[in-house]
Amino acid sequence: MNSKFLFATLLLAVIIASVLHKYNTSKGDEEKAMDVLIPSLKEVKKVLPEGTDVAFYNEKLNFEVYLWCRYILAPHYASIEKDAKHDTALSVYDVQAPDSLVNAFVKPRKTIWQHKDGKYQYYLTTTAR
Amino acid sequence: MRKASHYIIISGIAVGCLSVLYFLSLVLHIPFVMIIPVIAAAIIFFFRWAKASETTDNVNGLFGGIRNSIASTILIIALIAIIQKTFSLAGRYGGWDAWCIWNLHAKYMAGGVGEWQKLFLSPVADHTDYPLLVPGVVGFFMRLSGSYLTVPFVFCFCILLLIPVLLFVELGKKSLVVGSVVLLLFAYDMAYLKNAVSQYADTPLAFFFLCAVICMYHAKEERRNISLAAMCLGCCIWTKNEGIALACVFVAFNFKALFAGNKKWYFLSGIALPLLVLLVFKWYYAPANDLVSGQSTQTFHQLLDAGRYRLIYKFFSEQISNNYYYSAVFFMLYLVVCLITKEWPGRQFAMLTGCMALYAMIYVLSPQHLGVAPLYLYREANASADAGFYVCYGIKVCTDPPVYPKDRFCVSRLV
Repeated sequence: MNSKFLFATLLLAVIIASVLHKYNTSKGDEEKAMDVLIPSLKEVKKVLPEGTDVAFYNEKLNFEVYLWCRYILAPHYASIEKDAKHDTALSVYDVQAPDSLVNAFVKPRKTIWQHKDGKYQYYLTTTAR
Repeated sequence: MRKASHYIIISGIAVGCLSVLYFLSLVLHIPFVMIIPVIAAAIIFFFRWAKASETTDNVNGLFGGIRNSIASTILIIALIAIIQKTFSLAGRYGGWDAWCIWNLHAKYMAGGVGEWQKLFLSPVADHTDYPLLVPGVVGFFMRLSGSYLTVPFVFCFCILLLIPVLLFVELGKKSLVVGSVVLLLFAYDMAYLKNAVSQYADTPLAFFFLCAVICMYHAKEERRNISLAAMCLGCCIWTKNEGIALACVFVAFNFKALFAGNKKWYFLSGIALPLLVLLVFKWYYAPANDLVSGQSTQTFHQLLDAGRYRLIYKFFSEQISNNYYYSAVFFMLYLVVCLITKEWPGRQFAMLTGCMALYAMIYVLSPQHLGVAPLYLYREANASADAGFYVCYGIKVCTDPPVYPKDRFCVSRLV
């Protein structure tokens, strides 16, 4: 064994592990939830202009959903602060959330984009009419 | 130093250098297309400079003769085991801290000049005062490749491999049996693998700390190795806040070796750039660290609170016995051998113990309520075990002869 053999073997190991990881299936609930969120939020990223940040609104949803969305949306910043001054807001509701809950936030605003998947419903809205 | 070890260490430093330069490019608003050739040129220049101090392989390979074939077989067995286990252990998006802190920061850094400072905006579940080596490297390659899923994994997997392989090569020089046992211990150590594939910054910190110890061991062969050790320490401080504390302990325990005569210039030249970048980051961008800003008159009471020590000891020892049993056994054996041979433990061993004590003190002084301490202690036990016990294997054999006189005790003689 010499250095070349060592590094070639390591490189091969990294390639194999990376390919396996790419096609690895999600195990925990957290990963499965992210798997659902990623394709849906990919669409939001297409709609959002580069450098735009959004306010995040997820009434009655687990706080973790915000953290997952924040990660997926980055480098767009999703702000959860009450005093955030972004005119665009992304609201995420459980798919079974009652219409009254959704409308309370979405209806007074202009909806730019909306989407529903197996777990959540998404609304990208703006204050501009 | 062996050629293979040398290349592993300078590759690690090159990665740290890449992170520093990418961060500087964001700070100085340099376009990405311009920074790529600058980074490539800097890394080529660094490799050419570092190469001058390398020693060549033995003409018979790394281990010589039939031992090469045995070593190759053991390496392949270990790699297969690691790949198999990481496949089942690795989460697609890493652990909580990976997607909530490190990879999130990396995505902001991948966003470029206009976006990277958004990483300081979030007030929740984010540690915006953490240094940016890992986010810098991962962010750079995310931006280059456009892959947000694979890049963090590839980076953490490379580090995961390099720690045991570096020890294998270094220890195998003196005893192939010891080197092989250490490599296989790592390959089957679920706690190590789980922590390493979580995509946290603890394992990179352990890697750079290990590199610094090995460079220091070879400092007598070539003074340039002092610069390399300093660069590794620079990478430690640019990886995690704990790295700053670990680097201070390292310097304190190797003060004479680092600063005697004109050696200090080698040390300062190695650590200058990462230290400067860290100061820029901490001074202009990062919020105050909660441990530093939270100190008050209460600190004195915490220092005298026996309950805090008891709790920290309890969680720390639980983590060690649950996850690092073999390392703990080795630690004890080492002390027993020292007692039998009437030797004082080596300086590097004392340094390691100092690192452990420092980790414990961080949680004695922490302004946070101890109710949340177990969560942090779990991680810190992992981090310190990474940075400590893994290095410990290296120290076991990579110790200067005066500390373990060959006629009294040498591990390679025992096996």
